[in-house]
This record gives sequence, C-alpha cells and structure tokens, in this order.
Amino acid sequence: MNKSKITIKNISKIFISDEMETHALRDINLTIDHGDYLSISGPSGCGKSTLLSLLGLLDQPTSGQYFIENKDVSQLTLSQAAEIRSKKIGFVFQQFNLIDEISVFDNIALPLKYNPQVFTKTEVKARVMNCLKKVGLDHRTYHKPNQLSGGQQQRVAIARALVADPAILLVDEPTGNLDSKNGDIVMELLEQLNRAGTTICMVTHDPRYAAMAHRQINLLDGEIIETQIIKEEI
Amino acid sequence: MNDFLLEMKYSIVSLLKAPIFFLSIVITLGLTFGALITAFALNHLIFVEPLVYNDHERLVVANQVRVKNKAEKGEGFQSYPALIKWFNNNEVFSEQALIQINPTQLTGIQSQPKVNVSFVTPDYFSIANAPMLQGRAFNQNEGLNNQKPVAVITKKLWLEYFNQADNILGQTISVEDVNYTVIGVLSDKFIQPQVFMWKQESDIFLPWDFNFDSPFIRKNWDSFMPYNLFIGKLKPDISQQRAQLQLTNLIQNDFTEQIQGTDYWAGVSLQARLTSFEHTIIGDSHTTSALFFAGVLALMLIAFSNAINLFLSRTAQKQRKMAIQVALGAKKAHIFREILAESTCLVIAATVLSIFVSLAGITLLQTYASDLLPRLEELRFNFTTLLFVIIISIIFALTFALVAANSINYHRLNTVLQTSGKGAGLQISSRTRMILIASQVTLTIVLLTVNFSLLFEAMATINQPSGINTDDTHYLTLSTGKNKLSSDELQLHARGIKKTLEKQPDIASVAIVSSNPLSPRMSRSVFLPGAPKNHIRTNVLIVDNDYLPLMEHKVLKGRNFSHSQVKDKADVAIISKALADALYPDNSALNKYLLYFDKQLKIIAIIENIYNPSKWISKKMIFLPSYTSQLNFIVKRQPNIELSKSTLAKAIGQFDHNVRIFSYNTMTEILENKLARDIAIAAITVVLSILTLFLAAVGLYGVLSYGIKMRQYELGVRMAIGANPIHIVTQVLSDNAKAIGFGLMLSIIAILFVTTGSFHLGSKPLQLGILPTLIAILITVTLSLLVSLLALNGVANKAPVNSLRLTDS
Ligand SMILES: Nc1ncnc2c1ncn2[C@@H]1O[C@H](COP(=O)(O)OP(=O)(O)O)[C@@H](O)[C@H]1O
Ligand SMILES: [Mg+2]
Repeated sequence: MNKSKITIKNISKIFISDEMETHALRDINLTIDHGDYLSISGPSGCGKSTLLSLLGLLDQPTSGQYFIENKDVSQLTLSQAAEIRSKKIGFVFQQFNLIDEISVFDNIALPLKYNPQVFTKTEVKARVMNCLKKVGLDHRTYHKPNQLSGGQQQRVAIARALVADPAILLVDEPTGNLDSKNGDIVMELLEQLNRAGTTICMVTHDPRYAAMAHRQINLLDGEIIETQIIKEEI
Repeated sequence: MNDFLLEMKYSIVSLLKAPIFFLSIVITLGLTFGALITAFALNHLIFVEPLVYNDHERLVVANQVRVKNKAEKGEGFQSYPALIKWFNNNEVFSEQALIQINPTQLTGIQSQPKVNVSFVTPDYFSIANAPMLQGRAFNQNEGLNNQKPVAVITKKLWLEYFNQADNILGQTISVEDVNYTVIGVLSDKFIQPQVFMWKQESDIFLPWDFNFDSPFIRKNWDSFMPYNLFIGKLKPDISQQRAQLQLTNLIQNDFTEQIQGTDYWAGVSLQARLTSFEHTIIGDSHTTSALFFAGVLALMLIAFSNAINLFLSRTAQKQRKMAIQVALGAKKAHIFREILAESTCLVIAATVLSIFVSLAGITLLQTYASDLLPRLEELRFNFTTLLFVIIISIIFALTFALVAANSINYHRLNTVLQTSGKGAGLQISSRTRMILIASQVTLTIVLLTVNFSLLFEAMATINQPSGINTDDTHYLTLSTGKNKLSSDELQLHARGIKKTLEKQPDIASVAIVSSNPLSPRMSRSVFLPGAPKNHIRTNVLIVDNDYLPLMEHKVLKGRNFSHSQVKDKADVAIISKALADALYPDNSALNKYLLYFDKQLKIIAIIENIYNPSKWISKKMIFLPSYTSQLNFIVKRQPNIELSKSTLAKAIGQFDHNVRIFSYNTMTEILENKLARDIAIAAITVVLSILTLFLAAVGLYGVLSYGIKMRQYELGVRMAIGANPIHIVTQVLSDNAKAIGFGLMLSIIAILFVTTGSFHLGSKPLQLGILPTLIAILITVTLSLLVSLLALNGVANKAPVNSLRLTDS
C-alpha cells in the first residue's frame, strides 16, 4: 500500500517578464499518495496557483523533477502533457469554467473527447451519468450551465473533472466564487469523493476548508514553510 | 474643445506606443481610402462635371456612315470631299471645324523630333475654348483655301524645342520641310477635345490646307480616312436631328453619283451621324469608371472593417483601464470622448496618407489609363474631392468611435475589476465576427477573381507568340522631305537603298514592304472567282521576296515569291491561313485563285497567321509581290549586333542625302507598344491582387485573432481538461470553416451575378473565367486557414497556463 503517486523534487519556477524575475516557487518537494487529501494555503501571490498548474502539467517547471506514478513528466511536449492531463488529472477552477454554449452533459463528456482512448456513446453516457449522480445533479443533465446556480455549476465542474477517472483532482479555490452555503456543499462533496478514494489536491485560503484535508501545506513567497498533518490516513 | 485636444495629445502618445496597431490601420485605410478618393474624383468628373467647352451641349461630331440595305457597313472613316461639302454648304452650325490628326517630324530641328500635328480650320480654337498664352489663334483669313503657312504651338512644344524663347512669335517652324510662322502659343490649360477613335495630344496646329492627304484622296469620294473629322456647334434653334438630315442630304447624291458602277459600293449610301461631344468623348466609359469605383469601394470596405475590428480589439484590451476610470467616477461621455479622440487621430493620419495616395493615383491613371478612360487630363484633386474626403473622414472617425463605444457595456465595466479573465465586459458577438469573416472572404474572392480573370487574359495575349521574328528585326521608314519623287522614282530609290543597306556589315538582310506587318495599313476586299458579291475584307501587304525568310514567317503550304515574280508584279499571292480558310474552307486554297480588284491571283503559298495583340486587326492577310513605292523596310541585323540609327542614317545619306529616317524601331518595341495595355493590365492586376490579399490577411487576422483572444480562456480550460494542440486547432478551424464556407457561398453567387450581367471594362465585356475563380477560391481559403493558424499562435503552441492566466492588461 501507500504507493507514492505523485512526487516533486526540488521544483522551482521563475517567471521572467520585462527583465523582472519572479521566483514563484523555490525548491519545492512534495509527495502525494494514493487517496491523499492535500490542501495548500498561503497569502495571495505566494505561489499556490503556480504550484497547482505545475502539478496539472499546465506549465513546466524551471528546474526540478516531477513524477507521476514513477514516470518522469518534467519535460514533456505539449501533446504528451495533454495526453497525461486527459488521462490522469482532473481540474476544478475557482470560476467553474464551464462552456456556456453546450449542455451540462456535453460539458462533462468533453474530457472523454480529448482522451486518447475511444469511448462508445453508451460508455460516455454511463460515465457522465455516473459522475452527475456523484455530485447530485442528475436531474440537470440537459440544462445549459448558465441556467444553474454557482454552487451547481461548481458541482458540474467537479463531475467533469471526475469523468475520465483521474489519478488526482486538482482544485483551485473551489469556493472562491460561492457563498458560504454553497461553499459548504461543495466542500462536503469533495470530502465524500475523497472518502470514496479520490486523491485531491486543493488550494484554498479559507482555514476552515483547509483543515478539512488530511494534510495542509503552507506556502510563503514560493517556499513551503510548514506541513501540518491533520488526519492520519486510514 | 481644449479638453478634446488634450485628449488627442494623450491618444497620439498612446498610439505611438502601439506602432503595429497604428500602422496597420493607417496603411490599410490610407491606401484604400486614397484609391477611393481617386475613383471618386474620376467618377465625379465623368458623371457630374460638364465638359469644359462653352455650350458643350450644342457641340457635335459629324461622322459619315456607310449604309447598305439598312445595315451599317462602317463608321469612323470620312471621305474628304464629303467633309469639304459639309464645311462649305451647311446652314446648321454657328461654328464648325475640320480636323486632321497625324504624327509628323519637325524637320527644322537637328534631332528631327516626332510630334503630333492637327490640321484645323479657324473655328476649332473657339469651339475648343483654346486659351492662348501668347499671340493668337487662326483667324478667318487663315481658313480653308487661304494657304497661309502659320502655326499655333502648345506650351509643351515651346518649352521642349524652343527653350521657352521670348521671341517665339514670328519665328519659323519647319514641319516636313514646309515652313510655318508661329503666331500663337497655347496655354497648358488647353484641354484638347478627344473626338477621334484614338487619342492624340497634338503639339502643333497648322491650317487645314496643309494637311497630308494626297490630291487623290482629296477628290476621291470612296477613300475613307479615320484621321479626318468634322466638328461643329449647332445653331441654338437647330436640333441635332435636323442637322443630321441636312448633312446627309448634302452628301448623299454626290456619293451615289461618284461611286456609280463599282461593284463594291453597289447599293451603299452615305449618311451623316451626329453625336454629341459628351457622348463622343466619354463613350462607354461610364461603366468602366463606375466599376473602378465599386472595386475600390469593396477594397476600402475590407480595409475599413479590418480597421474597425482592430480598433475593437484595442478597446477590448483597454477595458481594465476604462473600468478603473469608471470606478474613479468617469462618465460614459468621458469614455466616449477618449475613444473618439483616438479614432480621430487614427483617421487624420490615414487621411493624410490617403491624400498622397490619391494624388499618386491620379498621376498613375493619367499615365497608364488614358486608353481606357476619357478626360483624364482634367482629373484633379479639387474642392469637391476635398469635401468628399472630409465627409468620409468624419464618417470614419464617428463610426469607429460609435462602434467601439457601443461594444462597451458601461454598466458591466466595474465587474471587470472583480473577475479575472473570463467573459466580462466587452465582446464582439460571434455573429458579428462571422459576418466580418464571411464578408472579407466574399470580397476577397470576388476581387481576386476579377483580377485573375483580367490577368490571365492579359498574360495570354502577352505570351502569345506573334508568329514572326521580332527579335532582331527593325522597321524602318524613310521620308524624302521636300524632294517629292514620282512613284517610279520612289521604287528605284527603295531598291537602291535596300542594296546600300545590305552592304552594311551589321545588316543581315533587308525587305521592302508597304507597311509594318503588325500594323497593316491597307485593307481591301478580295473574293472568290465566280462569287463577286462575297467580299472578304483583308489586310494587304506588298512585299518583296526577302520578306518571308527575313521575318521567319512560317510557310504552311507552297513557297515564297521568286525574284522575278516580285519584279514583274506577277499575278500571284501568298495568303494567311485565316484568309485561306475564309476563301476555301475545305483547305484547298493552294494553287487556286482569288479576285483582287479585277485581277485573278494564283495562291502560291499559305502562311501562318500573325497573332496581333491589337484584337481589331484582322488575321486575314494577303501578301502581294512588288517593290512598293514607299520607303518602308524591314531590316534584319546580324546576330548579337546593335544596329544604331546613326549607322543607318549614314548609309542612307550616302545613297541620297535628301532621304532621312522618319521612324526606326525594333519589331520588339512595336510589339511591346501594342502590348502596352495588356502589360499595364497585368501589372495593375498583380498589384491589386497582392493588395487585396494583404488587406484580407490583415483583416482576417484581426477578426480571427480577436475571436481567439476572446475565447483564449475557454481554449485554456479545454486544454486543462485534456485537449491537445491538435484538438484546439481543429476546434478553431472548424468554427471558422463555417464562416469561411458562408463567405465562399456568397462569393460564388456574386461571381455568377457578375458573369450573367453584362459589365464592361472599357469596350470589352468583363468575363470571369472558371480557372481564375477556382484559383481565387483556393488562395482565399488557404489564406483564411493559414491566418486562423497564425491567430492561434500563442495559444495552441504555448503551455495552457498562459491562456488560463489571462488578464486583460
Ligand atoms: N505568467 C506569469 N508571469 C509573471 N509572473 C507570474 C506569472 N504567474 C504568476 N506570477 C507571479 O508568481 C507569483 C505567484 O503567483 P500565483 O501562483 O498566482 O499566486 P497565488 O495563486 O498564490 O495567489 C506572483 O508573484 C505572481 O505575480
Ligand atoms: Mg491563485
């Protein structure tokens, strides 16, 4: 057991713009195990989103190494990264980022379209409905995203992130655009999913929500200053 | 107002920081607006501005029309005695003039320059409102039959050949060895009425009596010449119809009497046809001019929609700044004023450029389009044009500002500050974008199709081999000056000169010809023996036996004239394939006969047609053996040797110092001269095609990159959930394909419309070919797809985080 799923070693990220260098991340080391629930917090600009986008292969580190299931993914081409994202990673954003022109169903099915594996219509339908059930929105299948409330939209986004059965769910400030009631619903959903076996890595600056994870990492100026173990894994 | 000026100052500073944006708009808009201004000036001139001549609505050109069985047999050619009859006997004109135009030589000047002369009667100057710079025009004592050797010259001639001499009046000017006294210099404001079939700007005006027509032509009723014409100003109470009737009556009987008994003219009557100056000068140029305007307008609309689009993207980029201004209390009016200031700066810069472009355009038209369009010498950037420029500029500036201001949702601006990236504030609706793309595609395809059609046609003419050797041959014409020789003497002279020239080491061979085979000047009717009613009009060339081998004119059947056939003017003929086919469609012409005047000529050879770029020159040609009594030669030089005019002049001078070179051109020059129009069309269409593609590329790039910028965040999200670059490219291409396909459909409809309607360019119908259409479509679609890819630069080929991190600064 305890198979290490995600490991980053000495990762740094430097942004260079207008002759200015920003060390967004310095020498980060991190391991996320199967079934883990990790929260990342820290003040604005400390590098949370940057770390998450490196974890999600949305960007490449300036230096350091990154392994997913023991495979080195630090230096991939755009297409290779896309393939891994489509198979292994689920994303949930602060602004939900659903595509307004297509239905809830099609939004959720979208990652399957980008997946190198070819799914039949029935498979797609089964997977989408399964995920919709998980987030409790199976009665909203053919609505357009903008017909839903913020909380519902975020649950659709979570369903979309789950549909390809990813190894890890990367969540960036999921409650940032929600009121506290809807925020609570979404957090509860995440906890449920984790209990059912989904690995989660979440960025939040809300200490209450951060404490719902098993482990909490505090970032400051691009460095990990503290790792708190909140719950031991069962 | 001061605020606005200050705002403009800020705008200039901020525009200079975005030079690509600034230059894209100024160059595309400036170029096309400039062209539109030129087109406007032209159309205003042609459609609105009256002719410059006093009482121009009463001015007419009188033409002689030959009619047989109610069908017209020819127009534009005048019989000399009929013209004189009109001149002396009519009662319908208050002013009237005879005109002959011709090229000639100023023989009193060392270089013997070639100039154009008009032989006119005195009223010409009052009819044409000719303003004098010095001296006077002809008076009535210098009219018909007065034989007064006086001359009126143009300012141009005065400048070029008399160094603007103060004492020009009273000086002698020698034309073809006849001396004339200069009595006046015309102002350069004089606009010569272009009433002939082809244009000629004359440099010198001489009394009609001295015109070049021979005594034979002057008295012969059935010699019709295109370079003579009658013009007049109708008396106020005389209608054009009545005048026409009187002129017809004046000549009809005489003509019928004079041509009696000839087979050729049997049943033909001669009538007058009066056409107004307006109609004669402008002719069918209305459509050409309007089409020019339409084409340029289309180009400018592309550029304009491009510019609007770029401007919108820029406004989109500035929304954060505007949001902050709103947060700080800026009102809608403030924001609008700022946008208007920027659009005003842009439009002013574009307008300044466009004025220069239009001035260049006017010069270009005057230099290259004078065959195609009338009245170009009157074309100016005048007050009306300026008014047009100002009005359009104001429309431009306001449209920019209004469209941009409209695109801003003022009430939502403050939300821009709260959300990052996605979706807030300004967006051009996807429908508008689709229309923009489709209209660009349509306009581009249509313009390219028209351009390519014209280009292909011109190229086909340019590349058509002439069928004769034009590479190392020259056409040489000589004149004997004062020394008038009889026809027999001229023949001897021609042979003597030929012998002299052949001895020159630089010269390979020489042929005596009646005229240049590319511009055969004589045409006659031939017919089949036994079918004397069946006239076949054909060009006639009289040549010696050196002509065919020298010109490398391909003999299809039979053989060349022999020396003795030439010497004896034998009753034989060589004919072109076109004439052979017309005479004997069954391909059996060789060794058969044809009737030429009253002679039976045996066809001893059939030769390849000459492909003449001047399409109205018939391919039907007959070559007759003889040494003509004209001093025209084709000279073939030795390979790789420049044959200079002075070498020839020296040799000819040795033979007879009275003989001088009238014209000396390589056949290539003559051919290129005839191709000038096609070469100009080819060049213009290539330039226009490139401009069209450039504008389309800029425009499509603007729309597409704006569209992609608007959805970059969405594309980023797609990438985050697993889309790879190929997915993104396919997605965007398929979205754009709809708009491109729509544009394609519209363009095909437009092209079908143009093809079925009968539009004319000059006198030629505008024909759109299938190949040019396909190429235009292929190029435009490829361009659109390439531009789509280019617009994806920075999205599909960058890490997704770049698209997700979008902020709108
Ligand atoms: N593309 C970029 N270019 C330059 N600097 C960047 C870029 N992305 C992030 N940064 C900088 O890196 C730092 C970390 O940013 P981010 O990870 O977004 O912080 P957080 O999500 O913790 O608020 C910030 O100082 C930010 O300005
Ligand atoms: Mg962040």
